[in-house]
Amino acid sequence: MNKLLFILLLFACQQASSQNRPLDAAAIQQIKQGVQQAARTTLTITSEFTQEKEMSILNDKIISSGAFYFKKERSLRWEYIHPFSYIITIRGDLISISNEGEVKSFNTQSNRVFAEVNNIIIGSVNGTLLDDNSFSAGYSQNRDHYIVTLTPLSPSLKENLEKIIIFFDKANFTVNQLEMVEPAGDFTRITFSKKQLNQPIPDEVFVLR
Amino acid sequence: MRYLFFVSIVSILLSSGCQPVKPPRLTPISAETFNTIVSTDTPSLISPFAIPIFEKGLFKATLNIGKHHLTGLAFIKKIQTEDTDSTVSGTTYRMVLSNEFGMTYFDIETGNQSFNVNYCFGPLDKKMLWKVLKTDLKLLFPQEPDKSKESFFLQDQTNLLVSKIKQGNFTRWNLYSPPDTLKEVRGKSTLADHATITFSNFSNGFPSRITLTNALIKLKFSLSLISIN
Repeated sequence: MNKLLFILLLFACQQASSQNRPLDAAAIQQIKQGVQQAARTTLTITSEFTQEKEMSILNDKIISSGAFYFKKERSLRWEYIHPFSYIITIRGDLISISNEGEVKSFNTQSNRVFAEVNNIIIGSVNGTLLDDNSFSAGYSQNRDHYIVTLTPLSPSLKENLEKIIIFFDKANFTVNQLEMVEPAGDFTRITFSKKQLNQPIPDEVFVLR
Repeated sequence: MRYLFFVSIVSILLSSGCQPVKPPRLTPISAETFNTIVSTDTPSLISPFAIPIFEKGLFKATLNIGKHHLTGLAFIKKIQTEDTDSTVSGTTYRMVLSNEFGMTYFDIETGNQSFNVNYCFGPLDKKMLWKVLKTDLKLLFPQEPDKSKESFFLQDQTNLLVSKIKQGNFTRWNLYSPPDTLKEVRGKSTLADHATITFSNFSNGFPSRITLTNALIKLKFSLSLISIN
């Protein structure tokens, strides 16, 4: 009987540690400060990433992976390696895409979804997204992460996004995972791994020719 | 001013919408002649993808409409629907177009008699646009033709075999390179939705590149194959 009780208690503890727990005001303030501090001190990020798009109705996933580069203030490079090769660089408002050797550049304003995703990624890296008035924020944590759930407030954003969930690493307040949930229930999960902070990245990395 | 506007619209329609969808230089041939040259056992006859076992595929996609330039991935899946009460029955094709980061631009499902837009990203959610896109995208997917309304031709000079099929309210022209390679599909239901689809870069019988164009609305939709099952 005691053995059974012990197993049940152990199971309950495991469940509790894996579940997301809400945070009080002081803890929320601590997260905001931590993210802002990380944003101030993070000049570059080099990382690998895995992106999963889950299509609930089709019961299928599209999984891609590659390399990610960020350089302050607003330079990004997404280099998709598998299952296709594709490079996207974003410098300020200019997006360049290299596809099969052909490079096309356009302004983020000509593609609203791109502009929104760009703002979300940059905003979550530099911490400004947490104070963005376009979203209401909910805070929780699990064992390894502080979890911020952002719900769009503006009707136009709500059309495309139900919520964004950002997983900040408890150790250094950098983003480990980003989930973008769409109104139909489909979602994209981007997981960053092998992160290296403040390693020099030449500006040319963000230029496609 | 109003007159000038009217003249401009008519000019656009005349210069692009009224381009003949019918391939030039056609000589009628019998169904028997057509069938002896083209392998009728190959479902490619009814499949623009020219492959009989197309269950699902992932493509790189580029969609240009006027000034708008969208890029990303197109996931296409064949769906077998059993439910007779469903608005969509039989075999349908579902296409989800999303940007590289996974955010959906549109999600459509099309079958022989049906076309549903399950989701559409705000700026693309225009009734007039979808009226045109409906025919354009229906052309892209396999259809079961009404054989009784099918006629056949041989195109002079190119020696391409051509079949003309009436499907619902639009006419579809399939251009084959014998024995079973579908090179091009043309179709329209109104002046505005005259579309041409070309298939190229064949690999193991499957076109690695598919391009849909509609001159009137300045649409070009390109698909490059990544993987197929």
